[in-house]
Amino acid sequence: MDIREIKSIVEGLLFVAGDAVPIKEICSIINIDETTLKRIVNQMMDTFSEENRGVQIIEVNNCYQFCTRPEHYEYIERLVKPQGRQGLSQASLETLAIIAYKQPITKSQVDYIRGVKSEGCISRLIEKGLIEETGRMDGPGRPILYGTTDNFLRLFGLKNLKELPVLKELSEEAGA
Amino acid sequence: MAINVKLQAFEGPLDLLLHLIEKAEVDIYDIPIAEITDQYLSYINMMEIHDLEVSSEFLVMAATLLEIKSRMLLPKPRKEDDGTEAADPREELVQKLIEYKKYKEASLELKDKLGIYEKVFYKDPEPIEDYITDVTSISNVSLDMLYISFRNILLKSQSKKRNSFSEIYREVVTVDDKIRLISKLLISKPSFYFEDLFVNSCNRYDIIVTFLAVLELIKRRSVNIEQERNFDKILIKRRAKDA
Repeated sequence: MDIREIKSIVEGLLFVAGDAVPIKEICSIINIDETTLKRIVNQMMDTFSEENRGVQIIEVNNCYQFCTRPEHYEYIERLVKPQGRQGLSQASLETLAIIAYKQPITKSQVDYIRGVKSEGCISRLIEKGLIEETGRMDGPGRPILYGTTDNFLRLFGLKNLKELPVLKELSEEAGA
Repeated sequence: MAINVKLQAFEGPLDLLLHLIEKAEVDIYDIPIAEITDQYLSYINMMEIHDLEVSSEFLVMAATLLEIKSRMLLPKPRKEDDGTEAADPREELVQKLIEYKKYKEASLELKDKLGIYEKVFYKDPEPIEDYITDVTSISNVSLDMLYISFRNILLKSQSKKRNSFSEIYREVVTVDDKIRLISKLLISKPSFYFEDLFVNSCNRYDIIVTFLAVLELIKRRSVNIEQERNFDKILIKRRAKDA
């Protein structure tokens, strides 16, 4: 199978799925290895942006997915009329940041870092599908542990958690 | 000391403290605790004046600050035996502030990213299983087949129409009509079987009406009937005028 064929198959697969398709699944469907697929899809991503196509391919948590371009937001918005995409409050963002960097983490650990109760923020983040329960901590009361979702990665344009911006250590600044 | 803190919303006591420290432009590792405590307390007073809800966390922090302040006033204990210096009473608070600041800054960085990717749309996931069954059920279909099945449906509906037509069209026979028919027959012959009345046509409605007519005639004492046993033939006989 030549590369052009693989590219068009991948395009078809992503179109039908709509949702994120695991890289492994694509590999087993086309019957090629992961490195080759990744190389080919990277080429596709470049081509898509060079040609300024209306969709782009993004990588999220070892999956590929189609999405639109942010530049086209105002046009697509006219078509879909999104129902009040409410932004996140500073408090929710703080809570989300702490969970993203320290996951899995309990509510009281988040409270401790923020110095305030985070209950409301946590339930709002769950509602928005940005965090989820990932299990329970072994310890008194077996508190719920929270972690971020793939949706979180998508919303912040991250391939995986390793791509989170590096935390600025204050001690370094002070030492400089 | 008059401070001019604009009343802005703070996410919590740590947020407020960081704001005060940044405003005072002091080293976070060497907080002038007395000064900051004063500012912190006056901010809380302002919140009360403006009827803002002062949550318990703010009060706990105020108490912590006061405790640190008083411990700072105490003479420093002598160096410990092993030579390590006694812990700075501010140490724990500073650690918490640094930790909080780290994530606050990270959240601002995330916020910038959010600005871009919030404006991207995704397709809803397709129910792929449905897709597959749908596809198999309409495979091997040609335009001809579509035409044939459409024609078949048309033919069927036409033939159905004809059936229903004949059902609607039915003879309306009344009991009186049948009475007249039976009486007429009984003039020409003295007796006949009930079933002889249905040599030409035989529908349920006809039979029922005829049977009712026979019953009526019996009631009027115009005929006699004979039946040897259950479900046997019914013989209808002319009644002698004298009887």
